[in-house]
Amino acid sequence: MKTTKTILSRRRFNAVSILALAGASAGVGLSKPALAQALTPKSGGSLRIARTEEIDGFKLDGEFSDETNEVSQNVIAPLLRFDSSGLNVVPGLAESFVVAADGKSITFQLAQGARFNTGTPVTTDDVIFSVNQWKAGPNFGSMYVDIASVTKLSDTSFRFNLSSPNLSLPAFLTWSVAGVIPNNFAGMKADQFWLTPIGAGAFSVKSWEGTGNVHLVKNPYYYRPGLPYVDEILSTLPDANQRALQFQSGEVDIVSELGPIEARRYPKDKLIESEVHYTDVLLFNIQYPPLQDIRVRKAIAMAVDYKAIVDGLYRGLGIEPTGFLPPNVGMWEPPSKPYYRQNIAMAKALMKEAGITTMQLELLFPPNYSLVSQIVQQSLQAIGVDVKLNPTDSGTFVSDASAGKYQLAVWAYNAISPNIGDPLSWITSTSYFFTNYPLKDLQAAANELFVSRTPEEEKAAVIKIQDLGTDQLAFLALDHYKIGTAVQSNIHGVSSPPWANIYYDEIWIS
Amino acid sequence: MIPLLAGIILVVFLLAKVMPGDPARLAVGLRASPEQVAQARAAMGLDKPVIVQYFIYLGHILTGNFGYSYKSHMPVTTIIGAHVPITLWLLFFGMGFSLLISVPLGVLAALQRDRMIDHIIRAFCVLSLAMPMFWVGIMLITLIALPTHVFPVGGFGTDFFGHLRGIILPGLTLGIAMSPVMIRSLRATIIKEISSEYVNAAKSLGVSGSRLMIKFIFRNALSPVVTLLAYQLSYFLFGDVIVEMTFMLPGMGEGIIDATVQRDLPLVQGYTLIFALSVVLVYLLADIINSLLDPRIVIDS
Repeated sequence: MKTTKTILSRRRFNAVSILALAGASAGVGLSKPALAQALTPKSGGSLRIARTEEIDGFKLDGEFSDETNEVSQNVIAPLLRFDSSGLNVVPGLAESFVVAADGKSITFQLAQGARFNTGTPVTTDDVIFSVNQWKAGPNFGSMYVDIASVTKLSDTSFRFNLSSPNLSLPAFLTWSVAGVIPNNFAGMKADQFWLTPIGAGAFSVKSWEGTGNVHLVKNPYYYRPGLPYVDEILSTLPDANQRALQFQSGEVDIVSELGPIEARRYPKDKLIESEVHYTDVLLFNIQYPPLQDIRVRKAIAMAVDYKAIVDGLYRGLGIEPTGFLPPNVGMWEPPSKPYYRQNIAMAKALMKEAGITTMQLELLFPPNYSLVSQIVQQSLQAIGVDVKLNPTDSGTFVSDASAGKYQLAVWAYNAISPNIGDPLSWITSTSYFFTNYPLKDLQAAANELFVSRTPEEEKAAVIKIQDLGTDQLAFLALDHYKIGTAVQSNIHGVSSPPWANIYYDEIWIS
Repeated sequence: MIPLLAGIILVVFLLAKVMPGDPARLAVGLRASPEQVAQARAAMGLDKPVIVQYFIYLGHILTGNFGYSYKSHMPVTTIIGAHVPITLWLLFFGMGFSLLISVPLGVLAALQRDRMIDHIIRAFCVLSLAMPMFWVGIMLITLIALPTHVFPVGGFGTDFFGHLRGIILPGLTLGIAMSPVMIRSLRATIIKEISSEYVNAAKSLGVSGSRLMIKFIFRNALSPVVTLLAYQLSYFLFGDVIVEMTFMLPGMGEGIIDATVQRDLPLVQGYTLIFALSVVLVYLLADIINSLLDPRIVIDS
């Protein structure tokens, strides 16, 4: 693996910023109190964020994009949070949570004085109502079905009784889709509530549009004393050129979730880089006969020029695939054997063994995946596979991919919480990532992971899952790459996990 | 006009039908099961025959119900209503800049006919016609907004003065794009008026200078220009989409692009219908203005 860090990593960025500030202070004669003042968080100001994705809205079960997850987490607070490394679950609206020794229940205590942005206290009844909402969702309901019941211990403490142990459940409780909302939608009709949501997060929604334009204002009843620092957050969804121009002119403070190609347009000293995590994938629709043959899929996997993607396209912001699951997330383990690498001779031999000399395939891909798709197209020429590129818009891609109307497709996926069960849940709840590959074996292995009780069991279960993903090859990981967050130098407190979602409550402006 | 509107509604409905993508899947979500998608399709009326869907749609439109966004679940009229004022700002400033540029240059070119200044103005017109609108916008951003910081590179601001700052460069872009046709029209009309008999008669009666220009020549020359401007408004509406995207103004142009990208069919239909209705109304307005300025049109018609 070859990873040349051309951009500062998040930890290095923070350290260097502090050292630079200290150095600068020495140079210009700043006194120690002045330096301390410069580093002391202060309240007030407006934070302007330029986004790269639209906002899906605040209806919990309809929140898909990473940007939606980020905004919603800061408005409709979930019970738990993740730390900045993306490796650990930490308390959130629930100030403590204790998993029983047998793994079959989790007991929570709500944060002292926790209130919704209306000033109404958050109670166990609200949590019970919220859990029922989560479970009823057609998209994410399956993530929470293991919560068989909720026992009310007091107005502010409760116990989730699980139908079976679920190691990944605490991570799923950090998701925005598991936000806590008021009992009976605070007396509103559900549709109206989702348009004007009430939550216990750091901010309230003043106005929003599906385009990404969101205006948030400080929640005066936020459960973390003294936070949030900023008074309001204004976010927009400009195109890539406008994002760069607005950042250059100082009209926006943060540009969030920059892909590795776009990230290169930003000054290195203002870019916070996540760990490699996001994973480009090549999906094989196994309903299409030639792709039912594992030899053909393996031949394709051995024909792909991974180095061209990593070195030519991502240039230091990506690595060759290490397995089919995104790395740098809690409990991740590599497969027991090396993942696929380019080997044209072996790929040709596999095609010959499958009795195929030439073949035509159509490759479906949404916007922003054009260059990766072109590399795949060129790679497969070497084994006699003529790939016709079929670019489409995001909406059509989602419709066609989920309906199995494709042969090959390029897309990407990632976790949004600190547990490998997160991306795994995506795979298992989408007809094995839209490939229609039988889920039985993978689901069984995933269940082993969810009920594992020791680190050794967890490790073995993840390795087994990785091996299954490698052997079955329903889809192929093409690379793992980093996400960048561009931050002006007067903005502090921005930390981002591998999926680059930001908690807004600790951000301050100097 | 009623058959025209009925035709527009039919075309808008059919356009949505031929757009790729499954609205039910988009509405219910990626992880929903096929059964849940089928339920959503039924709930949205998408399982009914197309002709039935059309009449349901027509009924809703006639009662002012444009439906709900698949994406945000907000009423389409609310969403479009929030974008309309920004587009009106842009059109107002675009037309204003267009007049500010074209009237003086058109008059000057006519008065300096075939002299150096006329050649320069005509060259400017040719150059402006050749410059794509988005390119003009990018140039203004690069040459004015970025170095001076007086105007933002994009966005509409959050208060009145923010709006004002945010609309100047987009308005200027639209104005520059629209002015060549106006300049050429004004120049040609003034030249024609200068050599007309009534001007010669006025001159022989001792009328000259600015009085002759303003009271006689310019007044008569302005009539076709105002008519042209009204007709140009429909072109402004399409230019508006490009300018709004260049400057990221959250108006109707940006709205229709976003809705299309997100396959938000009710919203796409709503925007398309409003744009089409606007063009029809603008042409109607142009006809009315034309008849008011030139009584012969009323007599002829």
